[in-house]
Formats: sequence, C-alpha cells, structure tokens
Amino acid sequence: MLKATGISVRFGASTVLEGVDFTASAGQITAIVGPNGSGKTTLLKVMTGEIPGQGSTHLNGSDIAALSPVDMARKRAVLPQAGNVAFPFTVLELVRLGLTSGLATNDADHLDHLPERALSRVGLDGFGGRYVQDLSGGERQRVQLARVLVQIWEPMLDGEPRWLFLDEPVSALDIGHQLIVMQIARDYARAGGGVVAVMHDLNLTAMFADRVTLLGEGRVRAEGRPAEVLTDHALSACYGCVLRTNTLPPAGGPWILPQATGIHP
Amino acid sequence: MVALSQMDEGGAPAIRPGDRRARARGLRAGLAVLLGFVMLVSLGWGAADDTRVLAAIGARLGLAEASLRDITIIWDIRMPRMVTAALVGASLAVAGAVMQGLFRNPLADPGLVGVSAGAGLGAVAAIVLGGFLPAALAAFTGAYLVSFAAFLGGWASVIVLYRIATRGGHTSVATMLLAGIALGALTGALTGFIVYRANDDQLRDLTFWGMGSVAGATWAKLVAAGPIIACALVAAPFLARGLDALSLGEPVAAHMGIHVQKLKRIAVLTVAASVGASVAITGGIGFVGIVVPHLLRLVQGPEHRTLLPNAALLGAILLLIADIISRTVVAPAELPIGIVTATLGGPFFLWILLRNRAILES
Amino acid sequence: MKRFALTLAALAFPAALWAESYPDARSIVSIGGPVTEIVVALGQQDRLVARDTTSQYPPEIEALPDVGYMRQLSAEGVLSVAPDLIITRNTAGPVEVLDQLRAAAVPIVEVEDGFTPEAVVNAIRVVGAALGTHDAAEALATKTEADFAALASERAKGAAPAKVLFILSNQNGRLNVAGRGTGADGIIGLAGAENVMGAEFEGYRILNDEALAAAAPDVVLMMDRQEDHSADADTILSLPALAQSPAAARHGFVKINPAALGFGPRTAEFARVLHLAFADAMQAEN
Repeated sequence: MLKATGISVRFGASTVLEGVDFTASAGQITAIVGPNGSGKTTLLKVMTGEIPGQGSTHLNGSDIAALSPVDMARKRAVLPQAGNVAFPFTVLELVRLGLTSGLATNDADHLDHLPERALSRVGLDGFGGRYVQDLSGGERQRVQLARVLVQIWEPMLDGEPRWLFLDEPVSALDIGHQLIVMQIARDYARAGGGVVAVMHDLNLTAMFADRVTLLGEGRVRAEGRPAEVLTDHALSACYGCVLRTNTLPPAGGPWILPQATGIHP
Repeated sequence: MVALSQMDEGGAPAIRPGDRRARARGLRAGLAVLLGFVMLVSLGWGAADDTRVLAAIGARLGLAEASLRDITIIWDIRMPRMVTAALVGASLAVAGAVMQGLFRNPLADPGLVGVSAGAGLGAVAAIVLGGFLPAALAAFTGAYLVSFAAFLGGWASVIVLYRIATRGGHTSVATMLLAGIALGALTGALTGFIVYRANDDQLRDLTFWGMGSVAGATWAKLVAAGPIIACALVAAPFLARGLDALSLGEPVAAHMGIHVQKLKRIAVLTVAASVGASVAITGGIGFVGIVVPHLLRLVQGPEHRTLLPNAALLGAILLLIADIISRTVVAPAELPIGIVTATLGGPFFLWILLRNRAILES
Repeated sequence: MKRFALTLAALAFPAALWAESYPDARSIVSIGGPVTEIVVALGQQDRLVARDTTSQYPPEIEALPDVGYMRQLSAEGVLSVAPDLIITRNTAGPVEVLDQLRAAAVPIVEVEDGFTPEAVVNAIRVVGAALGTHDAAEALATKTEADFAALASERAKGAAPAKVLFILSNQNGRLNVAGRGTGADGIIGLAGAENVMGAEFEGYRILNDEALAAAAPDVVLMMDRQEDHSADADTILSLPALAQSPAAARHGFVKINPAALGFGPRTAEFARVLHLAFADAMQAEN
C-alpha cells in the first residue's frame, strides 16, 4: 500500500501541489494523468523522496521520511524521464548498476544473470555489449527500465510488495514497444508488486491502468477506475479542450478522441 | 596480493558481452607486476650509477657492508623518493577519478574544488612570508613550512567551498564548480599579491614549486603526509558503488539507495586530504589526475570499483617513470617532474583523444 | 638541534677564524657563481668536479658537469659526482637536499651572501680556508681589499653622484627595477652613484610610469645580454616613463656584465668600469 496524504509543494511563489491525497495498492497499476504543469511528476518525486514536500508518504506502512536511501531502494525503484549517462557504459554495465542496493532477489544464484534476463524482458536481447551512447532514445529508455527492473526484480520480497515508479515510461517509444513496456508493468502488478505511473497517453492509460488519479492545477480532480475518471466532462474541464470518450470492444474500456474543432468551452 | 587473488578464481570466465570486469582484473594484475618492476628500477637506477644497490640495502639490515654515501643514496634519497612518487601518483590519479565521478565529467580534476589554488596560495605564502614567522614557530616548522602551509591552504579552501555550496543539507555540485572559479580567482589574486612582494630567489622557488618535484622527498615528510594519502587511498574504494550510481545523475543514484550527500562529503574530503598532502610534498604535478582515469576508462570501462584500484596502480607507475626520467635525463641536475608529466602526458593524451574521437563525440 | 648548535657556534666566532678546512678534498662541487670564481681565482679549479648553473665564469668552467640551479639541487645528482666537499652560497637549497647531503657525510661549507666589499673579502677567506689555501686566500683578500680601497679613493675624486636607475627587465614597456638589498644596488653604490630606488623599496619591483618619471634618473643601467632587443638604449629611453628624464636628454644609458650583480673577486673591477661609464654618461651633458 502506498499512501500519500496532504501533499503540498511550492516552488517560490507558485504552488505546484495543494493538499493532494493519493493512494495506490499493490497488485495494480495506478496511473497519474493530467495536463502539462498539473503536478504529476512533482507528485511522483515527492512520493519517491526525491524532493521534499509538506504532508506524508507511507510505503507499505513506513513513513518514507524515516527510511534510509538503501531501505527505500529495496522497497521501490524509479524510472525517471530520460536522463543522460556520464561515462561510456556498456548496456550490461548500466543495467548491472541496478544491483547497487543489493537486494534484487533472495536467490543469490541467479543474481549474476539478472541483467541479461532484464534485458531480454524489455526486448533488448544481445544488446549487452553495445555502448549506451550508441543507442536510440527508445532503446535507452528500455535499458533504463531493465536497470530499474533489476533493482526490484522480485515483485514480492519477504511477504511485502515492492513498487515500480514510472515517470512517462513510454514517451520515447514506438507503439509496439509501448505495449511491451506497459505489459511488463502489468505483469509486475499481477505478480504482487505495485506500479505507479505518470502517463501522458490517455488511451494507454485506459487500456492498462487499474486505477487513475486525474490532476489539474496541483489538485486531485478525479480518482477511481479508468471508466469512472476518464469521462468527457472531467477530461474536457481538466485539459481545456473538447474530448469525446467512447467505449471500445472487447472489454468496453474508454477510448478518448480529441475533437479538432472544439476548444473548451 | 592482487596477482594471487587473481589466480584463485582460476578457470576461463564465460565470455559475456559488455562485461569488462574480467579485463579490468587482468589489467590490475598486469599493473601490479609492472608497478613492482618500476619500483625496482626506481631504486636501482639513478644519477649516481656507481651505487652498489644490493650492498647498500643489505647494509642497513646488517647483512652487508657499504659506504655511507651508497647507504644514503639508497635509503634516504631513492627510497623516500620511490615511495613518495608511488603514493603521490596513486593519490593524484584516484583523486582525479573521484572528482570526475563526482562532477560526472571526464575533464574534472581536483583543481575544481580549490585544492590546487589553495595549496598554491599556502606554498607561496610560506615561501615568501616564511621569514616573518616568529623565530620559535619557524624553528618548529623548519624546512617543512612550505609543505605544511600547502596542505593547510588546500584543505581550507575545500572546506570553504564545500560550506558555500551546501545549503539545507544539500551540496550543489554546480555551485561548487562556480564558487570554485570565484575562489580560484581570489586565491590567484592573493597569490599574485604575495608574489609581488617576493624577491628574486623566492620567485625562482615559486616557479620551481609550480613545476613540481619529488626531489625534496624525505622520510620525515612521508611520515607526515603518507598516512593521510594512505587513508584516502583506502577510503576511495568505498566510494566506488556510489560514484557508479552517480553516473546516472544524483536523483537516480539516490533512488538506487545511495546516500548522495554523504557520498559527496566523503568524496570531497578524501580528495582534499590526499591531493592536499600530495601537493604539499611535491608541488604542482599536472595531468596524472586526468590522463590516468581517462585511459583506464577506455580500456576497461567506467565502473569505479575496478577503475579506482587500477588508477592507483597506473598513477603510481606513471609518476615513478616520470621521476626516473626527471632525475636521469639531465643528470647530475634534474628536471622538475611536472615538466616531464606534461611533456609526456600532453601529446599522449591528444593522441588518445584523436583516436577515440568517435566515442567521445557521440 | 645540530643545526641550532652550529648556528650558535657561527654566531660566537667570526666566520673566517672558525671556518672549516678540507685541504685534502679533491672532488669539490662549487655552487654559486661568485664561489666558483673565488675557487678559480685561488688556482684550485683542478679540484672541482662539478658546478651549478649559475657558475659560468671563467668560461672553461662550463665544461664541468652542471648539478642544476643552485636553489633546486638534487641530492643524488650532487652525490653522483662523488664529491668530498661542497662549497656553496648560503642561499642554495632546497634545505632538505642539503640535509640529505650532510647525511651522506659530505662536508658542506657555506659562504655568506652579501653585496659589500666586506662580504667579498670574507667569502675569499672562507673559501680559502675550506680549500686549505690559506696563503693564497690572504693574498687575494689583501689584493681585493686594496682594489676596493683604490676604488674608494677614485670615487672620492668624482663629482656629485649620478642618480642611476637599474632596470632588470623590460616586459613590454613595464620596467622591473632594483631597490635596495640587491646586487645592482650594491654595485651602483660601489661605483660612486646613487640608486634612485634605493630609498623606496627592497628587491626588484615592477614600477608604474609615474613613479619612474618622478625618479628622474641621470643614467639608466641594464645588463648586457645578447639578443635582448627590448633592452636597446633607444627602446628604453623613448618609453613614456623615461622620455622626459635627464637620462634621455643626455642619452645616459650604460650596460654591465650580468656577473657584476653577484659579488665576487671581480666586483671591484666591475665597479671601477661602471664608475668610469657613469662619469662618461654625466659628461655627455656638457
């Protein structure tokens, strides 16, 4: 269980988050959506301990303010938006950095081969010997995901769920790899872990998320199952344009279609 | 030791694409052997080529007879020089690697945190203003005043910079870099002001100090500075994991379980101590701190857990070789070692850069 | 502790009386130009095995191995020529290297630096004692004293002392000039002239143009170095700081042998030549 209460963040005079409550359960993908500048990434950063904010965040019942970096790293891993790598690492070396916190799994025997398994999982078999600098943006994104997966390889450890925080995990990816990555997140959740993802793509969110929190101007606008949150009214109000929601077979999930003519209201 | 532990593992490791650790371990064994060899050469070869080395070594141990001159050359001149060159070379190379890891920039060097400027100011002040010290203090510090002042100056400027760059428990590396430039200008000005007061002889001393030398190495200096450098060298490997993680940026390193603030503090203090102590004994020696880590990264990859020990070995080897050259090439006089490292290091570095242009510019 | 005791002893006895003597030394390293000149003047150059970079006179001496700049000696380099005596100016270094040489049981005789006739005579006696050539040293000392005395009487006959500005170097129009406590100041005084900056500061300084203009030197003095075109009379005297000076008006520009800045056996002769040169320069006025 991830529970954030009363999160407020101010940068100078501007308020980025105002009294946000957020919960996510293990076994599910919880998506955070909202327009640019709504505070999605800031909320994620507060909950991962990267930036300070008012309010409190509890991860599996522990206040993250009281956890050491290592303890945090063993409970959750964070995939940031694209970042640069300072030195010429090979893909294998970079993915292996995920083992830094040292508790990927209790099974020490296959620890050594986790990097290759993670690479295979994100569709980068045989990329171990390539230099990270030589990869495309999408490949790099998946290398980073492999590193993050290595850090908390077992979704459940000692009876506790572990957490995957993803900040726009599919933004640099083509449609095929978007589905691969979202499927990885879903599998992680199905195996007992928790997934919190900041998402831009509302349709992927509708397809994969179990719960959705919609942010607007630093506040929670709606919260619930995708079908409850991703409605014409809530989205149009929040994003400032006319959006039409349909349902698609076979599952009947919501499908959001932007209207080229309609600027709200 | 290193070579032995290498053999324990035995067997051919499975070839694993992208894994350069086996290569790094092999390199470490090779460098260790080479270091031993270079140390022997350093001890056995010098301007006084008629020295009976083995007899002189044995004489102090009561195993052989040798002239006082030979004993002095081996035990009081070459040995402290050898140990100093090895320690200082190792410390400069490791400090360079740590700084580059900390600043996430392959061109960073200890100068960025003000060690060199501060140490320079200390040394200049001691050379020029030493005469104004109260007699009692001057007698106490004696010949070691310059070393002591250089260490103090280097250390003090790092602490000042660190304080400036730290706010609310967070040290901004960028602020440190910029404040370092400002502090560098200020210490430069102070240094210039003191230099302006210097007389002719002092000016010459200052010039030579800036070019570095292992010639003034004595056991007394080693006893003072050696333990500081040794402590820093021992502490450095504990930074390796953190520096590796830091390659991905501070937030990512924190997410991976690194206490980034603690890492920065220890890294900065380690560098300040080891470089301060090194510069104090040998004056300014450039290039080792940049060339050695860079070279190793090309051969064995950027992982600090293998980079730091190898940098120590290669730094020691390079400085020993530079020292051997500096004291034999114009014998019986000798070249300042900084000239040798820059003369050899400059073109070599350029060659490496040009050869690896593709990787660097991608 | 040992050095402290030595210092005490040195204070207690006049150096020349107390000076150490090594008449049997046959492999001597001489450090410092004036020291080497004295050794040669005493006819003992065959006992030298090495010299430092500043020892360049007489020219034959340059055939000897060079152990480096006198303030940046290398212990092993010096030991490699197997010396049994080192005679050196007391400003040589570094201190650690001298300590190492003492540890190797090589005796070191230090000669006090100074820019006075007394310092030269004392240096001759100390070097003479070290070499064990007491009589030759006394003869040279007596002759040197006589030279200085003759110089003094010649000086006394001269007119009012010329005001001399010594320029060590011209760095792109910025002039590095001599104050008191320098070899230049010493030789100017011995030549019966007055160093215009003698009262202003100690050592060498780069001065601003106004201070130079205010000093109004009668004569400008520089070292005679080949190929140093920045030190041409015309170049120097046409600098704004000096263009209005008496020196420029009478083209008062003199060059001296760089060796004159270190005080040794030739100092009296250098001073005499310089005295005449100054007199010539002052004549030009009329």
